[in-house]
Amino acid sequence: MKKWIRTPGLAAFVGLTALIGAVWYFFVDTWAEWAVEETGAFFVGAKVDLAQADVTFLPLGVTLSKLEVTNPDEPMENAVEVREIAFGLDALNALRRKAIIEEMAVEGVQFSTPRKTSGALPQKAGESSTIKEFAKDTAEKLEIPSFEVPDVKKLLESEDLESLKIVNSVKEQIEAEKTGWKKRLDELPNKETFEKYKKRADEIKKGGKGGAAGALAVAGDIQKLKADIDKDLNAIKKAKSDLENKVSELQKLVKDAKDAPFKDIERLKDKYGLSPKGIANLTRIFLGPKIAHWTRQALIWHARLKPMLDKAKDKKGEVEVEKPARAKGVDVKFAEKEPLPDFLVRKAGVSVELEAGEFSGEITDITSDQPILGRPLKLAFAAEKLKGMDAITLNGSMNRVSPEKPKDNVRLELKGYKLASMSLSDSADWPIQLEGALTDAVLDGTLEGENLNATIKANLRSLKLSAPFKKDNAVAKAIASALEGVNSFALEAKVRGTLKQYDLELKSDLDKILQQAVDRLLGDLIAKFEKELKDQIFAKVGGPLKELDGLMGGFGGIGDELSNRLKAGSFPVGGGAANSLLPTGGKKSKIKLPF
Amino acid sequence: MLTALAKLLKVLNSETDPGQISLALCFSMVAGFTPFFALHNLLVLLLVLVLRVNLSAFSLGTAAFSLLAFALDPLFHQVGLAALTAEGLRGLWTALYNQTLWRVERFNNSVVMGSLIVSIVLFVPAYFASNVLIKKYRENILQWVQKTRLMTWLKATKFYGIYEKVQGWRSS
Repeated sequence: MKKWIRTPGLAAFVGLTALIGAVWYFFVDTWAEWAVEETGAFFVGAKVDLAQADVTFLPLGVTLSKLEVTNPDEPMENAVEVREIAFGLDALNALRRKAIIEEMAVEGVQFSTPRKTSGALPQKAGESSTIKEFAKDTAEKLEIPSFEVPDVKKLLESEDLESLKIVNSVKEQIEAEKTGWKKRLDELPNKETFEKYKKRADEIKKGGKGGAAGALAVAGDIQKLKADIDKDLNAIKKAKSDLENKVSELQKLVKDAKDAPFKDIERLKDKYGLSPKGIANLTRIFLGPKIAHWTRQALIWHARLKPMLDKAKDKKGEVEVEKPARAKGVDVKFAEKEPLPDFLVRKAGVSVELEAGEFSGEITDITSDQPILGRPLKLAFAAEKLKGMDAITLNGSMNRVSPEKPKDNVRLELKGYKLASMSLSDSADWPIQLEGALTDAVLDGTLEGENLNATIKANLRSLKLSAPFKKDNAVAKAIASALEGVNSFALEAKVRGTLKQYDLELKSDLDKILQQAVDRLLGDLIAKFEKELKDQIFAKVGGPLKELDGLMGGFGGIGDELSNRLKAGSFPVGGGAANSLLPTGGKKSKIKLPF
Repeated sequence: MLTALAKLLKVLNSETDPGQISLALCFSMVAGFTPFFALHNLLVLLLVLVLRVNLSAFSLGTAAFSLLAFALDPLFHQVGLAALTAEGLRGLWTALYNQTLWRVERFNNSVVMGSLIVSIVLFVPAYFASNVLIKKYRENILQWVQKTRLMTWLKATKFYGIYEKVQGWRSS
């Protein structure tokens, strides 16, 4: 036995263990600092710097000093800087690899502080495709109307007038019809034809023999003559009826041709003209991109924070399997007698340093295992009588208790917030600068799964705007003057849709102010443009239109000719008893042309 | 300083029986295959120091098996995951999971469990196999190694002289 046991080895083991313990004790601060920086960088996708970590054992606690989290979009700026984070840890749970923190103090939180060195990482680790999706400019690019009155002559040089085409087409049709009718007239019986019938009638009268046989023969000839005359008269009547129908058709076409220039005017007005619709929602046009940008930034940060609440878990049979953030293999989770999340901060007291002063509150139940905890993360912040602000409250929650039905909401209220100089519109041609204002604003936002629903209501007063527009025309000047004269307005913005596709609806009484300012001016300009457009179009189309009237007049002559021919054919054939056999009885039939 | 180093080497090379070297190699397999800072490696360290095993072999073996573990991690993960998700063992694992000591040991990690299983299963066969190999080495290859230029050069160094003195070792 002695051969196998090395008694001094026990002392060596104790000594070695003590040495390892001592090394760990001396280096634990450094390792904690490294762990915070590495884990933070993994989640944020940019550098996280920690000046110092201090781990104490009795009691078990950690104090982190000067934490800087780089803004991944602005590597020379910190998204968040924290002066100190201090918390105690439950030792027994810490041995079980559970960080259960009853209370955490987060002091001196600041946003957007400058960095001395760039915080960009070579590769943005952990940046999801969702964040890249938001990084694209999804804000709708709205066209700002130019308010320039276009040169009508130049405009018409490049435009095809439909009305001219229609007029020319109708003209061709009328001319073709006229030619056809002339030909038809030539084919119809005329005065000469009826003169011949008259002569024939006379001959029949003269040539009749006496007696009953003779009278019968005459009657027979007369009947035959009447039949011939009737046939010709019917042909003329049909022609007259056809002419009436055709003329009616052509008149409809002429009417359409006369309406066509007005359609051209409307079309060109819509395409080139100043429409009152253009200024109906100027607020959305000017301010929409800015609000869309803020919405996008908020969603980007939400997407960055989301993985910290949504732990990647998988199921293998009946047990849960989880990929540890920075270790090999997977951790298999079994049922616990007293289930607790792996990481939980029951209450974190946070104080935020704004330019206006200190803004403090608390965040409760911070964990990525809300299904185990059974409660959502909640935050509640408030401050009053700050410099440049009467009051601010922020409340919200991030609910992952049912991971398949995530729900986040936030409510931010600002009262008497003094807005410093900021750009409301970054458009190169239509810049709008807010020089100062007092605002009351409320933001209510909810994100359920992919569905986004947010409303911002703001009232701005004691407002000073400047609008150094680049466009130099009467309407732009009127809008600029109206904007610079505004000293208060109310605004309501609604964001609705999904995370990847949302609509921004913006309403403001600024629209009414702007509309009133430019309505009359715009009305005059629109009327002037319309008049010029009308004059120019009718200058081109008026002549051909008049020709159409002239051409239609020609059909009257054809109608008269047909009437005359009917008259010519309406003569008595034979006498006495023979007359009674006449189909028309000598009545003149008249066709009244509709023109 | 060379004397101190030689004395250290003496301690490290003091147990030279094949069994002692083999046992050291088997312990080094456990320490090398499993994550180094796992709790069970404290037990391994205790055994290595208290039992008369060759410390040089343990140190070198740990380094070698740690390198090999990089390549074998996927295998360990598969073995560990299979063991941890086995229905028949769920009761046992659940009981262990609710004990702090076992949570510190991190037995529920697939690589930890898999590497431990593999190293324990191979422990006994590896002991006997390395015993045989060491004996064969000593019988057939050691003399040849002693005659190589490297060994000749090493034996001529001052350090080796001091080491021999400290060791009180006569060449065979």
